[in-house]
Amino acid sequence: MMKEAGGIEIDGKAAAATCQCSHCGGHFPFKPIKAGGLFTPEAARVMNSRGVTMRGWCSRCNGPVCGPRCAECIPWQRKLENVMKGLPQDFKPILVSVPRSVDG
Amino acid sequence: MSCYSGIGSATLSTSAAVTVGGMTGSTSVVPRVYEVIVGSYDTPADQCTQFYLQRTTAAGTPGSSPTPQLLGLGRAATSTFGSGTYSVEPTYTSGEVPVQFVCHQRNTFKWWAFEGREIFVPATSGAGLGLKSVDSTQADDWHGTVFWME
Repeated sequence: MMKEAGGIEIDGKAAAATCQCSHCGGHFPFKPIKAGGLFTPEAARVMNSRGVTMRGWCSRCNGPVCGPRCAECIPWQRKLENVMKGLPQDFKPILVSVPRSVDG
Repeated sequence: MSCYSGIGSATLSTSAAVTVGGMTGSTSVVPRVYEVIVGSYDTPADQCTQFYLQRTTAAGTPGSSPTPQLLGLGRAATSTFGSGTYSVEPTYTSGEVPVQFVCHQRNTFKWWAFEGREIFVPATSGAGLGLKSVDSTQADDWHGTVFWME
């Protein structure tokens, strides 16, 4: 379930709640999208180019994604760390698990 | 962690992007922008403007650099704030727009984030967030206030 991350007020009155994109950290209005169903990132890009607002959900981050541009799973905390360490923004460390001993 | 505000103002343009205010961090802190208020102080009219809160990598040359106001108790801000007519616009990172909105000239617009959901700015030299108009139907005067913590 989407969690509210903030809000928008117009003339002091609450106008909308906002969600935070799991991959860029940006905020976007919390509202149902017109296009329903499942889309691949490529299909979402095509729909987006036709002027349809496409949002997404990252099952790894368990959070909303603002659009096809943020389809690749690189959490915004990771991006922030990459920028501060001088790494490419899309850098993802490879995590592997190695057993302590392997019996022959 | 203390909270700060920076107030910027600018006369917008119908043909070019104009920065209303820009916050620039430093290498020692990770500022977190949690609120933005925008409003026009020009003669009321049925006009609107699209604003971006966009990431920057260089502060540019602002017309003035008001001291960030400390909200409550704490130390002076490490970040700086730029306002007024920029002779050199900040260097914006293409496509890095964490918040965007369209505001009617008669309205006052406010965006805010819950704690932990703010817009984080990396602790690198020149990194910051600029509040700029990207499209406006009238060249009118606007104020923008940016709140952040560091």
